[in-house]
Amino acid sequence: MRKISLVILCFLSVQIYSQSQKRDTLYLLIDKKDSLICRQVATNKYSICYDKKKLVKKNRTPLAKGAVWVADAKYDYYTSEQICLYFVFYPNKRQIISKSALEKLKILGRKDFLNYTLDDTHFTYYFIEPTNNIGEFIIQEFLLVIFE
Amino acid sequence: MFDSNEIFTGFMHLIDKENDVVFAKKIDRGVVDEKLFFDKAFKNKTTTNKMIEDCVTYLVYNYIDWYKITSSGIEKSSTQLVSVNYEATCYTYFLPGGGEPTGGGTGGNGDATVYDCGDPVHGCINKVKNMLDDCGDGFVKDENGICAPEQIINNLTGKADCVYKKMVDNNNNINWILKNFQDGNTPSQFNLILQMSTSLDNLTNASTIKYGNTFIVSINQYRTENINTTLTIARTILHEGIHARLREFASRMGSNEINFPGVYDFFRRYKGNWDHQQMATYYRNIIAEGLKQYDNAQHSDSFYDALAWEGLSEIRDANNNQELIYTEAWNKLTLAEQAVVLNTITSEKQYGNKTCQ
Repeated sequence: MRKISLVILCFLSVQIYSQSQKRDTLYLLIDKKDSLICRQVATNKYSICYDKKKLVKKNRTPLAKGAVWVADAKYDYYTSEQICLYFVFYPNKRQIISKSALEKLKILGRKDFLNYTLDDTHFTYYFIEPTNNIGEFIIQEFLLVIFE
Repeated sequence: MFDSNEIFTGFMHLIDKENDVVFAKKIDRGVVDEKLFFDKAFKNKTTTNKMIEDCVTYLVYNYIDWYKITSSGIEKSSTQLVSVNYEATCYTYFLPGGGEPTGGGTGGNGDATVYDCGDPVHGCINKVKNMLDDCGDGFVKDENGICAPEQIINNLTGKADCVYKKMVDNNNNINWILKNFQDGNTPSQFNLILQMSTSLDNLTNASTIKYGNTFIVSINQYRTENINTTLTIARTILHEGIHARLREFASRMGSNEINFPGVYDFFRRYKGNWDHQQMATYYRNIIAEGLKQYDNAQHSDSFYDALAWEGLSEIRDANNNQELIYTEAWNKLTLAEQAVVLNTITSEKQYGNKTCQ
């Protein structure tokens, strides 16, 4: 019995290890009604946000008076904050798929999708968009981009 | 000796008490090139003039073309960039010998260029040693002293290229980008391509993208040539280099709360802004130190520390507005400290040196 348990344990360990080493593909179906997914048509860049904008009070920031920044404790204001990630499309990684092919893919929701962005070496990101033809979709690889 | 000859590229020498090389081989990625160093004349030569190599290094982009086979024939569907690496080809080999240089040999194991050592003080062991210390163009020595292909590919132009070269070559000091690109003694497994961009908007200094094992840092050409000072450009390059380093760190083994609890914690707390938050908390001093070295310490430490805050005191929001989302480290400063930092940055942008020569 102990031997069998050991064999099962080894088998499970190998399975888990091989899964962890595998480069996986993540799919996000673009929902055009989702206001947290924005596409800049000119650059084909997407911003995907975690949550809706939050109104935040800022009261600890210097005030620019002309060209000089002044520590003004009285200065406060409300502003909208929103955490988003940006994706740009990768050229030549674009194809058309059918609805039946789409149904075979493991498609993640927006929030689940974003939760995989910490480890972007081990994942390839694909966005899927419906075309004007019913039952036809464009699938395109996108890359996470950080701006400064 | 090296644990594994498979990763060794360079020369292997055995020198006797009389400083004579009694054994020499050239090894390329663990493969011994027997014929180069065992010509008949070799054994009669002294260490006075030992070997030199003249290698040409090529930047090689490796692509895979994908084709679709249909009933009407074969059609190319896409091209995929799979890797970027350096490949070196050596044409001239300096075999040991006496006298003045006798010619510029080319072509593998043909003629050899011969130089006199000319160093009666230190002898020629030093010369051989110096030659061995030099990995050659396109190669750098890693933590174990092994010459490995350089992992940073510089495609920058104009002012950005000038700044980058000064950062790397300044007084033969450390390559700050490479330093940031490594994780302690663990050599980076990633390539870094630095290039110019004309498509970034006028408020954005740079962007970093990772595809497979290659990070691509794009520097805004408009801002570089028209707005930013040389110190600001250096800061941007360092900043983006740290982005690449942090992303590499997060990706090397797969980030999770067990392997990289620190990174994971920042990700859990700050989501998409985790690396700016982490950089603001832990890596500003690296940026400040790099700027100070680049600038030959012409200003105070607080000046470089203030410049390092740029891009970390403010994170753009979804509408590309800056100065709205602040990092936690920034919020910990007093209002007076924040004002000093902002004034230093503003002043540098207004009056700082915008020419790189």
